[in-house]
Amino acid sequence: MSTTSARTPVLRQVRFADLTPAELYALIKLRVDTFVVEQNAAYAELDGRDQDADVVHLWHESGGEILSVARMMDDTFEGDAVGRIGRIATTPAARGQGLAAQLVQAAIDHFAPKPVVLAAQAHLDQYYARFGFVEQGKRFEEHGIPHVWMRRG
Amino acid sequence: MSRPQLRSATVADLTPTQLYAILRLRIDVFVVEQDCPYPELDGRDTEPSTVLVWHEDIDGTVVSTARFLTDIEGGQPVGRIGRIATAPVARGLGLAAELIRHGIAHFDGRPVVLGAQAHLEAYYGRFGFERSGPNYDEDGIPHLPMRRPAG
Repeated sequence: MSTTSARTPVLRQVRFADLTPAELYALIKLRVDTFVVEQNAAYAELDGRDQDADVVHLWHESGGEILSVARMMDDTFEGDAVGRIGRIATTPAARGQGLAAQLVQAAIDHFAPKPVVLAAQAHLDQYYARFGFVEQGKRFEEHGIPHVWMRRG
Repeated sequence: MSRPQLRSATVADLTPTQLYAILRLRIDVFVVEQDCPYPELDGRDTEPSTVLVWHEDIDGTVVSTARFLTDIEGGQPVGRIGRIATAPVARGLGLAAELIRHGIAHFDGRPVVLGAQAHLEAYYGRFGFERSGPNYDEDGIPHLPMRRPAG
C-alpha cells in the first residue's frame, strides 16, 4: 500500500514577543531573500514595525521549514481604522500552491469586519482583486518597483 | 555618555528584540548603506557554534555587531569573524576594534580568519591579520582573505 506523505503546511499566527529566535530568523531570511535579493532592491527590509504590539506575524511551516510569510498590522487609511497586510513572500519551492492566498484570506478574517489595505506590487493588482481589493489612487514607485494601494471593504 | 556595553550570545539565547536589532543593523549597513542586495541572512547565524556579539547603549539600542563562526580547515577548527558593523552614530569610538579583540580572545589561541573589505586591509593588520590570498569580488565589493595565525 502506498501512502502520500506530503504534509499539509501549518499556518501560524504569532506576535513578535512570542517568536522564538529561530522562527524570527527564518521569517526575516525569507523576506530578505525575496524582497532584497530576488527583487534586487537594496532597501531597509527591517523597518522596526515588526516589533510593535499590534503586529501579528503569520506564516506557513512544514517539517520545521518556513514556506511563506506575511505580517498584519493596524493602520489608518483616509481617516479610517483599517488592517494592513504586507511583506507577503513565498519560497520559490513552495510557489503555486496557494499559500500566499491563504495568508491574505487569514488576514481578511483576522481584521473582519474592518477594511483591509495593502500596498500591492502593481503587477499583482489582478491577483489581489480576486480577494475583493480595489485600487486606490495613483501608482507609485517604491525601491524601483511600481506599487498601488488597494483596499477591501 | 557611558560607553556601550559589550554582550554576546548564541542566536538561541537572544530575545526577539535583540536578534531583530542586530539583524536590522546589519541590513542597514551591508544592504542599504553599501547598496548591496545580497543574502544578508546566510543561515550560518543559527549554527550552534556561532556567537553573535554586539554593543548596546544604556537604553538597549544595538550600536555595533559582529559574529564569530567556527570553520573547519583540514579537520581543524578555525575561528572566523564577520558581519562587523557599527551604526553611523557610534563610529569612531573603537567599538569594532573591541569586537575584533573580543573575537580573537573568544577563539582562544586558534587561528582566526576573515574576509576583509579590501580598503580595510591595514585596519585588520593592526590586530595581527595577514593577507592569505588574492583579492576577490563579493557582491560587487573587493575583498581579500586574511588570517591571524594561532597564538
